[in-house]
Amino acid sequence: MERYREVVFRTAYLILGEAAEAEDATQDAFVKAYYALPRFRVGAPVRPWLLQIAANEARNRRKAAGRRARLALRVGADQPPADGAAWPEAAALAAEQRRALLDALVRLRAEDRLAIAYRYFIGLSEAEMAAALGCAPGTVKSRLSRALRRLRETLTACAEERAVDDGRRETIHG
Amino acid sequence: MAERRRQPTDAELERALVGLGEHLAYPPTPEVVGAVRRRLLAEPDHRPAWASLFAWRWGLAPALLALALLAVVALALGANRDAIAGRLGLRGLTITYLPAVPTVVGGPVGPTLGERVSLDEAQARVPWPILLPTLPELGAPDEVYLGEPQPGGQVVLLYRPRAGPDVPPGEGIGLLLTEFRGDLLPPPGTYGKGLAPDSGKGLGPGTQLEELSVNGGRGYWIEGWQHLYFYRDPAGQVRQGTTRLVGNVLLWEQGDLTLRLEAGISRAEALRIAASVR
Repeated sequence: MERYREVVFRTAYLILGEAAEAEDATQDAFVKAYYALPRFRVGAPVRPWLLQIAANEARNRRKAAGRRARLALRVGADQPPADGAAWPEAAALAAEQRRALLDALVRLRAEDRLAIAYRYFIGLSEAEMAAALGCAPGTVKSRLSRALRRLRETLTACAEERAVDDGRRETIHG
Repeated sequence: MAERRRQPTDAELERALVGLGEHLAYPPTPEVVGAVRRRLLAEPDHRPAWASLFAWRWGLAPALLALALLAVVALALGANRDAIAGRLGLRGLTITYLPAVPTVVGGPVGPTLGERVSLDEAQARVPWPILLPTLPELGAPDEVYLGEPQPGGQVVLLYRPRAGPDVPPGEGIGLLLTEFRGDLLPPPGTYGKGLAPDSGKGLGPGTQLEELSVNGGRGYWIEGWQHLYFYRDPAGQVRQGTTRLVGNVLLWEQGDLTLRLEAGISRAEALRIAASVR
């Protein structure tokens, strides 16, 4: 259990966006996994099996709570240069891009967000993703591709919203 | 009109997502092992009597000594030890006190160990790197068996007695080293509930059981009176033809594996061999 604690918790957190809720979902997932052991196919990888259980628990919690609130995911601060020099412009730009990307990501449906998180945050292989998402291995690529397309669309929408907001501010203060 | 930004390429978007994953501020991962264990123990419908104290194989055993004490108390009271179920164990292996051990019909042990194969073939057919003792005086195993009593398979390395000042080379068995993936198995004591097979040691009267650490993992040393090796099929039945009475036994967990070293040797010698296993 110790080996999978972090990845199970992070999966739940990516769906729920709250540490306390994610902790409860993690506990539920391990308890359910314990009782599901007899149905576990020997030789199958453990990690995606646990992640599937954890994701179900997290989704159920989110559904039961009728959550509509935005996820509280956030990007950690970059370490400033040790010599006290000014932050390079490129680093500031990268941080801004990460925030924009996260803004778009949290607007996605949980299924799309989870497919992206499994691939790029947790680093699951396609076979592991299929097991964790409970889909056929042949459909993983199309699910991921669909999620990325929606992410692009959302990124564009977010950028347009920001442009409109910036335009309003200029009008007010100009 | 706002300038439309260039859309990132697929590769740029993927790199950006990997970068985002590295910079996400996750909360600290909470400790859940204790809470999960308490919840499992608090659900009486699922709790297998005394064995449930040790049922959580991922966290296992803060109370092993407590159960050992219970077993000792039971002995002192003259109770039926098996009924009181002084069950201990490692992943995939239960240790049970028995009021007596049965008489085992003699015969060659080899056929009961599984299919005889070469070491290379065994390695090709099990999903873990087979561990071997590396003591030069022991050398390579004389025979290798591949058995199926455990999910994921089981490998038995058989060493004939080595020639030495007091040990003539013989046809008998000098040492058996059994390996299986204990992490794939349900917790000790849950057989007979529709779960995967479970194997174990039945300890007869007078058998000494000592808990110890072997290569950094949990282990037991069993010495003294005869004890029985058994395993149960998914229906909870002891499989016929697989019981055998063996010498002293060192059991331990090493990585994902549970190992069983059986030989008529001292505790110190068994630990020396175990320390060389890699």
